[in-house]
Amino acid sequence: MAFFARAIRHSSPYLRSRAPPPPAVAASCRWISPTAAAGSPEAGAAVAPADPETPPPREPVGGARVELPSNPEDALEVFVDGHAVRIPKGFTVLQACEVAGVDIPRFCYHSRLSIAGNCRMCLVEVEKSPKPVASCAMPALPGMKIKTNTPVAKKAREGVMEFLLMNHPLDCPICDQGGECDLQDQSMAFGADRGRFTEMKRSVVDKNLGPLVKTVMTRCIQCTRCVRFASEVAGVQDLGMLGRGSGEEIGTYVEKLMTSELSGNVIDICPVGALTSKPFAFKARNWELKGTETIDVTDAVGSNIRVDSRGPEVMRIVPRLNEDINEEWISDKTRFCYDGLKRQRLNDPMIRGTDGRFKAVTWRDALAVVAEVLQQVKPEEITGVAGKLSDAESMMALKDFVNKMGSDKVLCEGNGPSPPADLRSNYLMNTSIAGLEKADVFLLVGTQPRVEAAMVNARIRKTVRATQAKVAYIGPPTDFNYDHEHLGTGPQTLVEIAEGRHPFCSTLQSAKNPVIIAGAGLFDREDQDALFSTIETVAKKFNVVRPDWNGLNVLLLHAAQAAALDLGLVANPTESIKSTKFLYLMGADDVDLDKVPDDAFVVYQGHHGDKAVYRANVILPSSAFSEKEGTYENTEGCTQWTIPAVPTVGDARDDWKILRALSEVAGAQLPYDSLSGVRDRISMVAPNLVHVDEREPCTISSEVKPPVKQQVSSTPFKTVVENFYMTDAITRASKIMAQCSATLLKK
Amino acid sequence: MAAVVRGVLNGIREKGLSNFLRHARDEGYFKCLLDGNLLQTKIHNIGATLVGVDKFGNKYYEKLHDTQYGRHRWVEYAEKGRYNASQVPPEWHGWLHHITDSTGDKASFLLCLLEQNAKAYIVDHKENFSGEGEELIYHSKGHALNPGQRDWTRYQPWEPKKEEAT
Repeated sequence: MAFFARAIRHSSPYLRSRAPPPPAVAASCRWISPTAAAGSPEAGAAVAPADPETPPPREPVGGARVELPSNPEDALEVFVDGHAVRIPKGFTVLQACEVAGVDIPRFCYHSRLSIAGNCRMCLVEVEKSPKPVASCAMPALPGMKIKTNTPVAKKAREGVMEFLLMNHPLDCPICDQGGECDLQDQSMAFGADRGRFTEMKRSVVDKNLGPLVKTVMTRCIQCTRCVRFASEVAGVQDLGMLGRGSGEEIGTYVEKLMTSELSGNVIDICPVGALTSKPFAFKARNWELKGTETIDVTDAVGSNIRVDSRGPEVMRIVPRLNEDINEEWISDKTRFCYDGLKRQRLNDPMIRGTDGRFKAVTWRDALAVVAEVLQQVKPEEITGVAGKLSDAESMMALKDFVNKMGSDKVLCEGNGPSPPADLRSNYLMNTSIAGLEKADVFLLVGTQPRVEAAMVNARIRKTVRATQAKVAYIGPPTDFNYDHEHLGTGPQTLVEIAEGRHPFCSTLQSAKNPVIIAGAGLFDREDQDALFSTIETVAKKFNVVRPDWNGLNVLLLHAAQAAALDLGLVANPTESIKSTKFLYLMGADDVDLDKVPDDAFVVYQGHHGDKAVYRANVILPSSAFSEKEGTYENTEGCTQWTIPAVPTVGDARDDWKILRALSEVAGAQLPYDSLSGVRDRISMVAPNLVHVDEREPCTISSEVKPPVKQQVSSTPFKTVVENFYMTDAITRASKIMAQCSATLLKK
Repeated sequence: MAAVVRGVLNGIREKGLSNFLRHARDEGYFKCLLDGNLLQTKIHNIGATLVGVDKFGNKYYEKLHDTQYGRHRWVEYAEKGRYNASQVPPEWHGWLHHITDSTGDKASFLLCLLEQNAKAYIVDHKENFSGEGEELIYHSKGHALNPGQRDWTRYQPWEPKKEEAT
């Protein structure tokens, strides 16, 4: 326990600020053995209870804070195990118990899903009630006396557990859930020490849910969490319950794969081993793994994840709770891209010889070759391009290095010909991801959030489900998992709305908190300035930006984009690349390599042998996001750090260190040689990038922009992300992602 | 160290140099230099009890204190070069794997009593020769006959040659 508390204290500052004090941690883990804490010497010494039978009052489960409504009429008082607790109206008995610090065992109840009440594990005794009540489905009433630790409640749990285990196979030793299984834990804590079952156990045919989720349906206890997750959060009606009684089973009705971009989350919410990860099957046990709390970089959301590693290998990726960004879900791309980290890795510096073949060389030789070429080219012919996965430190180093060499042509891919870097509000999600829940009308312009940022899409779906918010969409036909209105495919519709000629205007007019989300795909269009000024006209017309509400958003595509714009990597890609003689690609695989002149010298610094290495003259291996400390800013402007989980491969080095070394060899030494030095430099350029785990909103309004003379073209918007599963070097190297795109993408 | 040198000198004095060298070769001391497993067994043997020797000449050792429980019984194979686990006869298997505490000698004795009747169906133990050669027999990680498993790389590097092929 002390170790756990220490681990929390040593983790990131974000956690430190929110972590409950050690006693609360103790309370949160107490449910495994409900009586142990009461009998422990500290508990006895701290509070000497008058009645030895009643345990002392506890902190809320998990150190949670309970916000009581301001109006005292809306709060009520119940008694849990003899202690009075005040809770808001509408809480269930189970929630009341959690506030009182008593964790009730449960299988079907999940705080983010609707209540099913079918597992019966959460039975508690309520005074004056003839039978034990299912606490998850029972609203708490004023003055209710709830007893969680009486013989009746204990016997009820024991009986339920006996029935659940009746048809549950005894295959814990070969089950991937073993060690992190709710049924295993709770049968140890609440189950009987013997069974009376002598008949045959039932067996259920396994279902094929696709390349990600492995099913062993005999282990299923019919909690229906996965069914509710699929229909409520993921928004696909793929899963359902078939049959009655002992013939009851979870299935897909007809033979069918689960085609959701969030399907991996059913692995986490399944309380038993019925739904487990297919790529992770039989690879490792959860107690062998080292968890590293880091963030995801495969899209611009920056989902909080835990990278579980064993030795030098990333074994799996699981989500971490962050209410502001990803709640407790992550997309399949985030969860299953990890095998890409082990394939196609660049592990040695390489030089292309005169015969066109690559030869592995030492760092000294590789840097010397690059420095020599750098001396020969004119300063203005040097171009630096940062890739989709670059962290802020390396982009800072790249910009400083290229500037020091005398060029200002440094850019980040995906930001278009004239990046809107002047005002932060022009490229951030100003409403914030969590703020989307307050919106009542969404207007999506040229963005397909389901493939561009699955977690943002989940948030929109949550809002639509909760408040019947209206969604309108302008762009090419695409898949949505909520009701929406397809207004048109091109900018013409947008102009109509701006001029008030479109029927959708009345909806926008009556909206309290309207939200406009423009896709980062618009950055690549020639008429982007005109488009964004049209969007701003719409915003002004319908009062989207007010002092108390900013509904004008840009949804970015890559993890590096926001930080690149903050740091000012804003050169025009087409012009810079066309005229370059020395091109420095820092993990940039999606630049148009055909435009690079044939006599240009190309240095590729990156972690994967993806597209751009084939044009490179020198390859410098760097570390991937799971191997380095890096700063990333997500699409809503929240700065987060990655933490190294595994060692780097081969001879690879951190990106900024390579640039620092190269600058020294090239005779233009960068003035920092530690990570804190780079961060000091970043704090001078973009101070928000050093305030970790904080969302820094933009303070200047967009009204100070100069007028735009450009005309909106009539070209319809394009689909930006063709393949959700393969968007960057890591996911393109991943075999699992290749399988997904082969089987799950409907063509 | 001094004890080892003294033991070597004593051996030479007792047997003469050529005899001692032959003995050392038969016992596999020279092979130790190339085979870490054998060397480790030899080092383990110092201070351990020799519990018995089976009919093939495999020696069974036990060390009860100073050793991790579960690693306190081991075998030094008679065959110093191409040894493998199937060379342990069934009567010693149970003792070696902590299935029983009765040693193989005891088991052999009981077998001898039975032998009058059992001869008809009990065949002599033979080691596993299946497959064409050593590469088909399981050898643990780091075993001298298993060089492939010394590769601890957990990632697959990018191969520049592929590019020339396409």
